[in-house]
Amino acid sequence: MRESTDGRRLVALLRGAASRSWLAADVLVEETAELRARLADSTVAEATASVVNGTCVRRIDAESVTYRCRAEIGDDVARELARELRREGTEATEHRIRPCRVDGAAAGEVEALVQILDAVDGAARNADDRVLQVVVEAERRRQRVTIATLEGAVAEDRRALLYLTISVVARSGRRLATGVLTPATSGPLEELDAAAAGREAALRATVALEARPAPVRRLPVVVGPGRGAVLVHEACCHPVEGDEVLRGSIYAGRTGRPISSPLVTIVDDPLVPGAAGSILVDDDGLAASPTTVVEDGVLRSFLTDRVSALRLGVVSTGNGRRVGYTHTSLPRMTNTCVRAGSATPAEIIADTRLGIYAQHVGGGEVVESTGDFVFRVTNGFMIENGRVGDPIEDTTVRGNGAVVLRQIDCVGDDVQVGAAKCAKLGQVLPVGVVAPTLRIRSLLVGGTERP
Amino acid sequence: MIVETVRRVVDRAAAAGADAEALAVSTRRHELQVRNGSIELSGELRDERVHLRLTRSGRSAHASGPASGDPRSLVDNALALLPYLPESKPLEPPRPRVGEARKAAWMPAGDAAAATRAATLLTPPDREVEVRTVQEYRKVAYAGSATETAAYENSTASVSVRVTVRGASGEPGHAEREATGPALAKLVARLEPALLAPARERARLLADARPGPLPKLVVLEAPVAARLIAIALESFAADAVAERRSRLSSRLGDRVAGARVSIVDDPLMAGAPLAAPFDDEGVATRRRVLVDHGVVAGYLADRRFAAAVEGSPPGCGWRRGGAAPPRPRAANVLVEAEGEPIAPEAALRIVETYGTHTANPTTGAFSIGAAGVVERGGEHVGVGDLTVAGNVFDLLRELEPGGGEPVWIGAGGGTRICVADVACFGLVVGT
Repeated sequence: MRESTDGRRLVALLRGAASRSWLAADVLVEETAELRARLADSTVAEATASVVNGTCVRRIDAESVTYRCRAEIGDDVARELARELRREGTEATEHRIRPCRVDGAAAGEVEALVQILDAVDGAARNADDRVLQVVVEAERRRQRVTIATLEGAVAEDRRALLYLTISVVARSGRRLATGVLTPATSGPLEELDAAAAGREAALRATVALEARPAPVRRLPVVVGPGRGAVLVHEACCHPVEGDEVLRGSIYAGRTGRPISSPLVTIVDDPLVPGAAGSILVDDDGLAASPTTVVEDGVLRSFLTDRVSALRLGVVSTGNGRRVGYTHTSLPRMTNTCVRAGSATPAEIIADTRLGIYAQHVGGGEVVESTGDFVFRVTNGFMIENGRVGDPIEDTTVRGNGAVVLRQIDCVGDDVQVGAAKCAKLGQVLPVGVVAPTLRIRSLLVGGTERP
Repeated sequence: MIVETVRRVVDRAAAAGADAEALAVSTRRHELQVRNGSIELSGELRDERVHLRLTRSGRSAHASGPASGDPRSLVDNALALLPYLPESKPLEPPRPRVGEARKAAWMPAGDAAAATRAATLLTPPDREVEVRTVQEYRKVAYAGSATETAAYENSTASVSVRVTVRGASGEPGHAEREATGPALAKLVARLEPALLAPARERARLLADARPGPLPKLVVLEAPVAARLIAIALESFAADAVAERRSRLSSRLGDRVAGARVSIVDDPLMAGAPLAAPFDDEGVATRRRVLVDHGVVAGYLADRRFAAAVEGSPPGCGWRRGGAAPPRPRAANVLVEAEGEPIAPEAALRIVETYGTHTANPTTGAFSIGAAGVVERGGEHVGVGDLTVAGNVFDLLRELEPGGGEPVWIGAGGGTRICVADVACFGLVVGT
């Protein structure tokens, strides 16, 4: 990548352009190189090399945030944007387009990426001859952000991420079924076991061919490790994001009070090696550090960015994240981590007379003001008399966070790391979900089984 | 300026012995967030990007970068990918339609702020009222080695509202509404009657939700119907058909929906959010019938998949997100169900859904959280804690008109759908 603007110069520019009435301000400069490739029918037929450079200047007042951003980097860009903010209400200045060199993917990365895609495809197709199609979409991103604040702080972070979306379609007769897996790593590419991922995605698709309709009733639900943490992500962590707390989420005003089973401890940890949401510096310029959200069932902290912390009268937890220079930061999760318990997954299943085993979980959604949430079970099984039984079709599971967290009555000892993408107000970010097997006493399973 | 940009890129590719197509997009975007009468966020983006498809020796690759970038490095980035990509049949050069599609609109930020501030002032039993507006003004230019340069301007806008109220029992009730269109001023002018008033009413009903018997007939309000139908639209994409990921593969001429149901995609539809005379591959756009009175009449295709799938001329190649190359997608979709609405008063009206994005586009299976309204004893009663499950293809077959005015909804992924309420039996509702 090209050399970025010096952080100290950015501070000086900001101070030169800012008005005394500004409570706070910052500038973020982004330089990102991204490589995307898509494999289908065992061929990588699409590849894109993308470069994103841009600058965003924010002004933070007691009640509002105003920002200006532009697809250019340079000292004069930051100065012009800051001046626009100072003159807010007038039209933005037209700017000259200045040619600059933009470098794409690092040498060797293209070949490495293609090898990963081929390994996934080969392993998936060899796993089962009912596999009809394997589609793998790969995003390899290297991002450098420089943040400078009016107060004089300067920070820089360099981030790398490989995110795969593997979709396998299996067919038996006229029936189609799918298996989806989203492995990711923020560490070296070799850390990702592509063949194992391909086999796993194929297994999910072929098992789903045998699935029967899921029940429609309230049942105990055992969620598998890793992506099972989507339950916690929706039921607990979105409502404790600082902006949602300000909107009156169900956990507003409840720090220091029990909100969950005492078996549960949840930490937002941006420093998990190789996890999808790992960062060293948040996008407000604060050094990233773990935040204990729930400790033995007691709510300990919200997740805040600079703006929500200011309005809540607390110190920021360093959870300000944004998709890039094109948006302002919001309080976001990094890696949602549930502490291991003492039960083995086998013990938890054996202790469940009738329920659902959500081996793999897809996405979800929450209404922060009421606590109502859903998450999708993509590979599920019935549990009957303490044994995993028939596979069930994709189904949603529904509950209310304030109730459900208290109903977690078993926590496993088998923590796994998973990856997901979290969407909030138009910004999609990678996050880690790190959790063991969990059991919840009662959730509404929304299947299609008719009585 | 972006017209010069695309020509520079194409000329640079020619100097490297390659054919090229370049699409440059200049975007001005403003977002506004107003809550409880105060402006919380106001931000403006100016972005200019150029996207390149480069072909040499039968292989093609894509590159994307800022319009201010050196065209040489953009071309070099694409050339570096070529050795890893297969040879493919050359694509027919597009013939973009030249000329302005529709006059673009821009609402000054101050005017939008003033209108929305007033509308979000709290009145009991309001607890939170939030309005978010996003408007975009885009200039798009296309040039190719074998094609003349073409350009157009377009504006789109969206408004979303979130309302939380306190019910009679003290419990919160929450509702959201959204609308999309070509001009923010028109959406803001109807903010209260079209979005805030219905959201407030629904939030109040849901705050005091009560369990009870539910009718078998389900009416999906327009925004709910739009999001579910958007899932089915993915199966009309020619890449899904060609790659055997679609339940509609080889179904041209087959009945897949009720006889009164028609679905049309038209990037130049009057009153629709998007007005684009050519797609992101430079192909002239046109009205395309996907379902004609229940029968599959065509698919959505870009140039690469048009030849592979019968009934799918190109013109539907659209980018989703900044760097991704164009793929077959819908643009402005009109869903019509002819005839009189069937007894909506005796139905469970689904007014809020959660988790629609998790539905399976290949099989069509969906299972989502929901909240609804029923009529009991002459009054409307909210019903919460629901799940609704089924299959979007069964929904299309069973679909009947449910009343109400059609509205434009941004259903996600850039697809805009215009639909009224729809009614159907056969969905499985869990409580």
